[in-house]
Amino acid sequence: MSKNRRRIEKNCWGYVYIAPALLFVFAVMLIPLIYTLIMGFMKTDLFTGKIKFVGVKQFIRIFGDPYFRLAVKNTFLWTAGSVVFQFLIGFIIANILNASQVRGKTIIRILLMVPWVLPSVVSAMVWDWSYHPDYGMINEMLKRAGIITQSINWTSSGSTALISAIIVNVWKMVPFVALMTEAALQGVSQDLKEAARVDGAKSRQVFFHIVIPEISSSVNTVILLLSIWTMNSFTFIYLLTEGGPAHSSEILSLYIYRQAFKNYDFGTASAAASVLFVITAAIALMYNRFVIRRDREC
Amino acid sequence: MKKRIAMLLAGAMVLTMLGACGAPENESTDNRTEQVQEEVQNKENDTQEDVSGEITVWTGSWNDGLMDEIMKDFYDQYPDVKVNFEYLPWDGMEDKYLSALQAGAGPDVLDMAIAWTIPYASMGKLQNLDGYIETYQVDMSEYYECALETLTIDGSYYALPYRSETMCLFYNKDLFEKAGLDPDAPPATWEELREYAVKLTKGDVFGFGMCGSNAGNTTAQIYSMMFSKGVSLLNEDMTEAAFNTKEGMEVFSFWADLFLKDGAVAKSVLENDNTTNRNLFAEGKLGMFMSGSYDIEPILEANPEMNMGFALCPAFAGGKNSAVLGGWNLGMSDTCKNPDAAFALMRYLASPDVSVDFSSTFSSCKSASANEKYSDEKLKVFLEAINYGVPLPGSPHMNQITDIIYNEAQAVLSGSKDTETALTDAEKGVNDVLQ
Repeated sequence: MSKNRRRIEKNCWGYVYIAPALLFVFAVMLIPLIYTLIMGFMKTDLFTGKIKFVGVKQFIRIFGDPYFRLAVKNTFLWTAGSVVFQFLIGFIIANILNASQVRGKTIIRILLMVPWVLPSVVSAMVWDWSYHPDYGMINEMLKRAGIITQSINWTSSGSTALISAIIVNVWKMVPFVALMTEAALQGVSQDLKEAARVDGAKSRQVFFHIVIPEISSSVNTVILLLSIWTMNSFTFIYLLTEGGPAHSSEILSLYIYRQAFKNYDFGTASAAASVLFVITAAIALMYNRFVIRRDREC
Repeated sequence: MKKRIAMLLAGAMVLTMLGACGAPENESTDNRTEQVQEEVQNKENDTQEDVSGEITVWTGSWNDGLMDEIMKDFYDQYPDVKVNFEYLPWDGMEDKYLSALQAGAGPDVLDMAIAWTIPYASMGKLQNLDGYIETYQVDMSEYYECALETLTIDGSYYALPYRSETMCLFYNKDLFEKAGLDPDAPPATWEELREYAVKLTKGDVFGFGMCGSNAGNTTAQIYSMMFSKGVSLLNEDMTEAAFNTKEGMEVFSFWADLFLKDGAVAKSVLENDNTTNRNLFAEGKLGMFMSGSYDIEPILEANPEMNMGFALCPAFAGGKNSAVLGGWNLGMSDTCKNPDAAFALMRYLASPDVSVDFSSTFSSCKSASANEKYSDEKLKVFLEAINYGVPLPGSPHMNQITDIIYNEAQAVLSGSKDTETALTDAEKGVNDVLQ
């Protein structure tokens, strides 16, 4: 009897100790989330102070807004474009670094970290000036190399605005992917690779059949993180293109920002934010269920 | 032993959280000690008028540290009045006012941009000042008419203006000479400006600094041109767009063609806001651009050899010189418990002599143009230009309207829409918002 009571006592103290942190999580994360989801069903007017319940009509209305649909499309393009190249380039670099016997490996690694370590705002400003059609470095170099004859309006032309932002986003996150992949690669036991080679496997077979499965769990997590971060990101697109020109590079996070802080339409912004939350959560859950869990089971 | 340490840690964490929640309370205690000191100081003087009490004033953070000097004479006149200033940064100022006024938790006196005055008054958040203006015999004719337009609803006044400013044309006299133009004869009409801009464009120097980035900068130029042709943005009761007329179309095409056809504007227009244009102008890469008097110092700092002239914003042939009016007003909120003290303060800050110090650009009083603070030759044109200022409509949706027109303007500059479609789409977008 007294043993049980002691166990219950122990558990109670556990909850007391985590109570402050739980309170913090509730206040800062859970309550705003629930508030936003509820506000998504209300129509607000800051000038008359009215908050009216309109229910699902609000969501139907925003899906009818061509700029919202454009924002959703742009968000998918932005995420897919960024993550694919972030991962591919980072992965290749990690493999090269891991396999090579080059002397200055440490220095290369340090230099490689620079894009990730620089504050986003600073990077965005530097890239913004590099992209400038009249005074930017990129157009100048392309012209001197003879690749183009006239400057391209990288961040202010409808066709290239999103691509310019994707390039900067890829540049920023490649170091992270390279770092994570290299750590995973070094975790692959040499014995396994040796055993395979003894059995007559060629390098390519070793790579695809031994290394890749070993690092897959780490790699899958990296891809999931990249996707979630990219889908929610705001800084680069806001600073480089501000969603322009004429909303052609506006992603959902910018659409939400514009509705909330420029149009003071908190109802619409909350509805759009709820949609973004659902999309991100759905992708994360599905990815977790079908990719990460399956790997673990294997 | 372990348990006790853990308990102490948990207690410390909870206390720190509560401590963080308690921070704002400390700020108000500081304010109160400040006030008590002021009270003691003021009680030493004799009372002039029977005005007393305590009032709160919200103003911009750029006034922080300047109010003591400005308020000296006020406290001599009204020693029984205690004024608490709260300083708000520009970022989020509009938000803060709106939410505070809605909650009835606003200040007694508000320092607001002219664009907010009529919307707040329509919401019932500003008091009608006609009674006080009569009692204290304030002569409203001493203010610029355009400034009064920003605070009048149906003939009643809802604020006192203290700061008015508008844009003028800056032009590079050296570049003018090089292009064979008379450096003392700036363009008087937009048509002339187009002609001169084309002549000035050579190599990496462009004639006119059009803005294509930043909604406010871009639309300020378009609006100024529209006002010159007598085009109104909205109808009288601000329920419909009124700019999609023949004249509106002419203005919009003229503006777009400066970039698309005449080639007088830099290729990077969609990335240039007015600050970029100012930098290009200071470096001698731009012949002309539009800005306010606040840009004179930065240009001379960047390039002390700058030889520039100033002129009124051009007019369309047969139209009036016009530029968008900017400025600030002082209003009394509907929750003000001490209207006499509040109005006394407002009248003081908006008076000809004090408004010269309180305003970081120009005073809204016509008589203040003779003040020695404005005696610099360079400021002459800017003072005259206030007479030609045209305020934007006092609609609460003005931000959205500007955003819509800005996006259509960008679509035209980037070549994805022609001017007719863009202006019609803008009209449709604005009508949707105003519903």
